[in-house]
Amino acid sequence: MNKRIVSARQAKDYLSTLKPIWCPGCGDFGVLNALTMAFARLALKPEQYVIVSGIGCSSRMPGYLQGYGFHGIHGRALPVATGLKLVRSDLDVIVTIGDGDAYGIGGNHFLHAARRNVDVTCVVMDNRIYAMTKGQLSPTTPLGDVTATTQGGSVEPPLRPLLLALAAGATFVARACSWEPKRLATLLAQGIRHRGFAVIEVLSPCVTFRPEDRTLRERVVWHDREPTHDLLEAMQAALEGDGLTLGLFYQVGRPVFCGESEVHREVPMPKSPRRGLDAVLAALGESAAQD
Amino acid sequence: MAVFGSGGRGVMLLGDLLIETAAACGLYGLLTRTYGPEVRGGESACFLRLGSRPFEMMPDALDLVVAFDWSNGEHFQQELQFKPNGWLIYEETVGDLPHWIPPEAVRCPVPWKRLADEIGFGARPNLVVFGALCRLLGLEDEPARAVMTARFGERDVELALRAFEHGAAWAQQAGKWGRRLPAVATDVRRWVLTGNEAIALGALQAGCGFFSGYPITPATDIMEALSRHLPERGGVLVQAEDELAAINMAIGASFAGKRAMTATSGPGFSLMAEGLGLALMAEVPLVVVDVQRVGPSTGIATKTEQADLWAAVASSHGDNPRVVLAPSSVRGCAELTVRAFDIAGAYRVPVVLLSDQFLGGRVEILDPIPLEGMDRCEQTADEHMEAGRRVHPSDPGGADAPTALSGRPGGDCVAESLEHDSSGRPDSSFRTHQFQARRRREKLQALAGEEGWIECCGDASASVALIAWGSTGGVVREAVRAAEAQGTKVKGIILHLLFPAQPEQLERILQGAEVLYVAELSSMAQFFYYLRAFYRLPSRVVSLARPGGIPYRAGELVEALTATGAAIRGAQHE
Ligand SMILES: Cc1ncc(C[n+]2csc(CCOP(=O)(O)OP(=O)(O)O)c2C)c(N)n1
Ligand code: SF4
Repeated sequence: MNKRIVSARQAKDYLSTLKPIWCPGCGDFGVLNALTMAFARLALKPEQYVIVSGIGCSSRMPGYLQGYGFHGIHGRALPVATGLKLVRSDLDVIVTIGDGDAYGIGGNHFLHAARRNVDVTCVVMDNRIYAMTKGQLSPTTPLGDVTATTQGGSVEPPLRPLLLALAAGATFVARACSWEPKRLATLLAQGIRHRGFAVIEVLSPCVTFRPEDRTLRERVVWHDREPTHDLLEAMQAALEGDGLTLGLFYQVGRPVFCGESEVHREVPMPKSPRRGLDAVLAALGESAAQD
Repeated sequence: MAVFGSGGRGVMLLGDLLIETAAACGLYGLLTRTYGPEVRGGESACFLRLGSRPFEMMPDALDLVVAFDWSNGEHFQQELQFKPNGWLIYEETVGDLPHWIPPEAVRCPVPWKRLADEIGFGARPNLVVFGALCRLLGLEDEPARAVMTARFGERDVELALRAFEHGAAWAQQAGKWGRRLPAVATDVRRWVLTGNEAIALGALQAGCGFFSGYPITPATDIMEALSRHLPERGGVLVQAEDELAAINMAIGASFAGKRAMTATSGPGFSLMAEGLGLALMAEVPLVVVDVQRVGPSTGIATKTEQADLWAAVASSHGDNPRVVLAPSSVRGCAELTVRAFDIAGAYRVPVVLLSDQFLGGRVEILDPIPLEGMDRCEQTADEHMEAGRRVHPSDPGGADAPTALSGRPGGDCVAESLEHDSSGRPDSSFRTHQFQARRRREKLQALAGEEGWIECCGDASASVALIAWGSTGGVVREAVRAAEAQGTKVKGIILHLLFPAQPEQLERILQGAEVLYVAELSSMAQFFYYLRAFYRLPSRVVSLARPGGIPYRAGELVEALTATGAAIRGAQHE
């Protein structure tokens, strides 16, 4: 037999041949690198995961990675990922989206994916702006900031995404940044291994439409405590440092959403009298049994 | 016959028991339900037609009306047309009959309440009435008992039987009126199904493995039926947070290799427009059921209309060459659902199955439908993919190129909502867009060339043709038969494949027709203009379009085919 030594996949082997369209210096490069590092660390085969995204600069991610991906429509990545995971629970499903996708147009899906505890990893590249459409207000743009659509400064207070994730029922809640890809990779690997809805909010600056966010580097601090099981404690920690504290705040185990089929096996079906469709299916079952 | 009364009187239960008993007695039948303005509570009526042949429409006038009370009965006034010697059976203590009861109706006051009180059934006399009606209509006791046992269970059936027998005994003794239905000897176990149940049945037969939906009248019972039967067959069912989620979840499941479906009605269908475009662009197979109700906006949730046609064909921005199928009977609901899955998989397109409240909500007694076996297949696998090559579902390899399936080793594929080249890479060049737009359109040509989608009835050589789709197709079948009985020859035509259009086939069928009448429940005459856009029609085409709310009666169509009627009605769209 022709024995060949197969060397382990390196991080760079997870990159596709497509060249990113991102601006030089865009935070999303860091997230791409971190994802490949996490995959290498977990020794994932490209056919073991699926990357699902919406629309935006950040949502270009699936095309830049080896393996299967789904580049869907704006705001609807989480439902696509939910449907996919429900029928292929053997795959790691990773959602890579922007703040607009996650908290704006797709906000409702974010709530319900967290509530259901769908077993996917939701990586939100938060650049605090709508970048793809050239710099409009996002749900996470700070109060008072000038954007293309708030020329006099935003009058809307920003959302606190991690509080939302915690309140809605996410079971793994972390914040990281794109300029420290190694630490991000660690959190991504943990998030992928976590069973349940894992939210990893990544500060990923848009150098073109929010160049001022380069200074975030100086303002972030790592929260190096162990993740808590206590919801209120986690909320407190997520609020610290003006919402710029990084780390894993919360991790708990809770049954994951599996659709009805598994639950069904445990709950006996009520004995439905044989009428209508029930009667037809029973008759078909009987005739099939005779064949 | 019709039965009506205010909420809580058990009108609907009585209707169900009667049609089930009739089926067990070997009769055919059709049951429709009408509600007042509320989806729940309020007054309700059911209409029942029984006989020795299948029915698709209520008769133009009623032989028998059973009334529990008169509260808000005027809501149904339009639908309660008595035959000249039709019978009105009503609770004797309700006081004066409403003014709109025609004077010629034969009045039969009956002491339902007293009879029910005698056996302690006070407020709900419906089972007493059931017993009396079975006796009057000549429905046998044995099947009626079996139906009640199936409905109430061994434990509770005793009480129900007491009420039934009390009513039957009274009718026996009163004995002066009633119509005996022809007894039909048969050992066929006929099916008693609604159109919505038939869609659920079709989905199960087609091997549907995933359903996601959001509750909406009149489509919800598809999800409810599947929630009982899909999980026990290993499928997954999710109640999504909205219709945007419902359709995208189904797309995700389909991309992962399961036959996937969602079902909704008008308001939800509007929300699904975006998802339909995604399924089309990413070439992910998908079945979307729209059980139409009266629109626009929230409209009337419990009544039928056929005004989602343009939305089904064209909603969602951009060029969307999708498939639109329209069943015209309960049987068709099951058969076309199976076809819908097959077409979606073979062509990697979204297929819209357009039903409507009149089809979805009615109960029919029908002969068993031969459907192919369960667990047909998963979607086309991507096993043919060459290892390492980025292969995309939109490979120009024609209709049978593999569907994107996640998770097969060696595969490398991104489903893409952006315009993309054959390898799935985003590409905004004119050349690629021109090529792909054309390919998406042309891949449906094979389907457009298929025979057998256009149904004909009546006289093929008639110079008068009457065309319709959906539930109105069933009325056309009845109308053609009724016109023939009056000596008028009509060629009836019913379309079941609405998109892609089949102009050559229809032209052939229309040969010899000098005038074409177009029947549809749409005030804007959506079907009429659809026909004018996509088909070659005779020089005289007359629209009979009117809004929905109440389906056509056969008599209404027959009358319209006579010159005067048509001239008035068709004036707007000709
Ligand atoms: C339904 C819909 N509305 C609007 C758009 C336009 N659009 C594209 S991306 C985007 C926002 C992108 O912001 P975000 O999700 O934060 O991603 P980013 O580009 O910042 O990474 C918008 C509004 C769209 N594609 N679809
Ligand atoms: S516009 Fe901003 S977010 Fe988009 S690629 Fe450029 S830097 Fe990144």
